[in-house]
Amino acid sequence: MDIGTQLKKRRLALKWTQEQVAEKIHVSRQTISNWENGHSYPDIVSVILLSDFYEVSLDALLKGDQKMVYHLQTSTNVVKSNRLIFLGLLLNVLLIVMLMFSQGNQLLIIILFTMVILNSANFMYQIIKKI
Amino acid sequence: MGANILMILSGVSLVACAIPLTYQMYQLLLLDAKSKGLEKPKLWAVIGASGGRGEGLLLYLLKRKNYSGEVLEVEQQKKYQLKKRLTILLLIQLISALFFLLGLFL
Repeated sequence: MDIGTQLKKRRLALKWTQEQVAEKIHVSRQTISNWENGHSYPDIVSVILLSDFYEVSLDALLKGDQKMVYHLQTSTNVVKSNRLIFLGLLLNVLLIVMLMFSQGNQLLIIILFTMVILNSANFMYQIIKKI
Repeated sequence: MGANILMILSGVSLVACAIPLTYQMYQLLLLDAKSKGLEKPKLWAVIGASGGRGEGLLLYLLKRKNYSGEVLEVEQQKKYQLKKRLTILLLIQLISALFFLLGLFL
């Protein structure tokens, strides 16, 4: 079961309103609504607070939702995201150097240009994700 | 003729996307710089948003590394919205650039 459904079920079982929960863990009511409807995921600190507040184990909250596990992995794995950004930068430099030495071969130029565009977009995306 | 039209359309789309992309990026960086507690957040947001190939962003990330301010949930939501808009704009730019390249070699 995904984390949003679990949070909603538990809140309704305890007969609390979204406002009450929001006040307890210092977020807005809209945020609680977004978590319950799967529009966004709570950060790890909020998950711990929710686990205490709802008296549900972290294991039960997290392990049932693969998307939540993935969200936590990507938002907390700084080393991996740094490596991706560095690799993107290195690849772009390499591709531009190759472009400089590929005069005359039109097909190769098209392929290299396409790779530069795709890699640049990915590079920017990784940075946006990191901020 | 067809290639020229393709190039003009994709070129216009590239430029038209670059303006909101830069502005949204500035907004995101300003929000982030303020929440992280950087000195002169506006200046760092301008530095980060300028430089079309991401060099400004790299400088910003290097500066940001030493700060660890707490991000409030409200700010997190706003950041999420801005990131979503930026991703869409980036995707449009990517498609436009690919079409421009296609027009260039047709």
